[in-house]
Amino acid sequence: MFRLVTGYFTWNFLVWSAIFFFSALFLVLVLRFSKKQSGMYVSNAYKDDQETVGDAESGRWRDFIRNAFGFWFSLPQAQLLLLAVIVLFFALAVLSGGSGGGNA
Amino acid sequence: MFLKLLPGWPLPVIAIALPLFSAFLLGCAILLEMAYTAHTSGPFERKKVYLKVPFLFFLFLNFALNYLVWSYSHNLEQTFFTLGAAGWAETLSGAGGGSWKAFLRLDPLGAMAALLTSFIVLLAGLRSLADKSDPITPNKIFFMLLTQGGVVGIFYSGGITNLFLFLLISQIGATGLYRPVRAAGLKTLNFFSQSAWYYASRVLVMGMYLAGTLLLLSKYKVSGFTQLHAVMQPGVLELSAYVLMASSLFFLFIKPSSYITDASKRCYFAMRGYAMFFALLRVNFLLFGPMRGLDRIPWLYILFGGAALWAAFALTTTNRDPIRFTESVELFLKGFITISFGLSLNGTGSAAAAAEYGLGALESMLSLWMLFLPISAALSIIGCLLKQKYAGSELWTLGGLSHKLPFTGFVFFIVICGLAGLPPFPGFISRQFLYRAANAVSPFLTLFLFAMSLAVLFIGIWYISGVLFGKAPDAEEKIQGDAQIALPLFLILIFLLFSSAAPNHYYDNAVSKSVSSLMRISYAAQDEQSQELPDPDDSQDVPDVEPIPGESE
Repeated sequence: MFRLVTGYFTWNFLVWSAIFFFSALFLVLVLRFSKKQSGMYVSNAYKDDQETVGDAESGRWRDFIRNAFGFWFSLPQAQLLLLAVIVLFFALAVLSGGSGGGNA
Repeated sequence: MFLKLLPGWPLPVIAIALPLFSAFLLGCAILLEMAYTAHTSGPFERKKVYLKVPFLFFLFLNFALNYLVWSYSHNLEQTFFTLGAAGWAETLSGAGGGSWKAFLRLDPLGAMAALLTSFIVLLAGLRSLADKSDPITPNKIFFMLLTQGGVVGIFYSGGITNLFLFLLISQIGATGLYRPVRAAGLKTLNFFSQSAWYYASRVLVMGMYLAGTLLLLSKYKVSGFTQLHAVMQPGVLELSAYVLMASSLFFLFIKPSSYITDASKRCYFAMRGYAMFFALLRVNFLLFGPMRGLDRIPWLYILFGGAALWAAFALTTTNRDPIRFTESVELFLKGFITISFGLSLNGTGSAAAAAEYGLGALESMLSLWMLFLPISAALSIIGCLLKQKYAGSELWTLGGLSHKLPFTGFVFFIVICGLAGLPPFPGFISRQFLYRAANAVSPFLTLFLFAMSLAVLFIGIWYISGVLFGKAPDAEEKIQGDAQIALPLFLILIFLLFSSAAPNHYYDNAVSKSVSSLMRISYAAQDEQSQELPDPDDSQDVPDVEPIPGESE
């Protein structure tokens, strides 16, 4: 009873209930976010100079993260750096003397 | 017989030759046009229909060809095609592939990848044909065809030299699609400096792969993956070759794409990243296998995957531009794929590990990888649409677009759900396998992955809410967005909904065959012919599902 066999999974009632519960929670969250977020991009795109103190705090945090990770998008010098890091890690992992015996 | 529609030409060869030959013809036409223009010093009058109709015909023919190859390879383990003096010959062992001979390999994994790629090529082509802001040109089609030919060649490559050739072709195609553009106000010297960096990075990557290939060729004189593996012994030269080849392929997979607002070009960049991961699979599973000295490599991939997830998390929270958002979300998915790749490598080293979590990790990796391309294509198409101008502003800055772009908003929502692994979308099953495999290695890894999945979900909702909900913009002029991208999005939606509604068909036909193919490769690579293969179907049940009382197989 209350079971669905799809050929790949067998869903029982408990699983379905959990799915419906989380889906409902998800939809509530969407509605909640939608009220908070609507028009946000407009205000940020055109009213940066009217930020409140709280906005300035989060703006500084965003700037910090953007500066720290923004190199990812700065083509192409950063890509050479990324390539160098990848090669270095591979070389260290492979050529720095292995324990032998294949994979774990 | 089925594979030989043209005399002596197997279908996989035709599938590679079609885009390359089309590119050749178009290249000749472009040269003639340039010569005509130079000679008459006037513009060449060309009707668009002469460009669009053949391209449309190519898109469908290409898809049909790859579908035929996939349907042929479906019940096949693997087969090889070698070009000799008497033309193409089909062999089961792959023997006879010399150092530089044309040598193709057909297995379910490669055929599935080629089919999915041709599907995305079709979507990107349709989008490109309908794009009014960036109309299609002969040059663009030429580089698209070149990239497509290279990518399909990668999927059917049977050896390291063939792989290099197709990598090079796809790189030339992708470079042609990107072509550094001089920004307004940028000095000539600075522009050349930037272009030089770009070309230097690409030449370096190709050179690294070539160096690894030459190292192996100089010692062993054979290029076929399986032949090379059979004779290769662990040593400094072999491990150095691995570093050069694997790091260059991994870089090409994980790196961000260029900032381009053309959806069809972005689809091709995603396709290339997808093909690079395939090449990485070939090199790791088929060429080197669990070679002594590579025992730390699975952990390195897990480390890189974790770093990619952190970077993606930071980038998605700070970038609202839809192209940047698309790129960051792709990085999320790449991070998950990389971690599942590390787990798969770690879990297929022994039969015990494979039975415990290796097969699940493989299923997870391949299903996430197959999901990468349609999701990336959908996000690229939507992201580029949101960059279009409306009443002096870009669409994404306006908010309330669900009233104007209802279908786009719906697909955006479905894509984010699939990406985040929400049930019942195909990403959900992949995540179940991934969590299970990760839990076998470390519960902290499971926790980290679960937290990151939740983060994708919330960031996705946050972004969608900001773009789609709220007060609708004043409708002074009509937004044509939905109509422009409806067809490609609709096709992607069908793919996502089909794989959600019939997961058994999706996994049986697409994922499990490829997993079996990889497992056979992995075990054959160990030269342990007597070892019994674990049945991939054993991993297809999840632990939290109860068996049905009284029902047996």
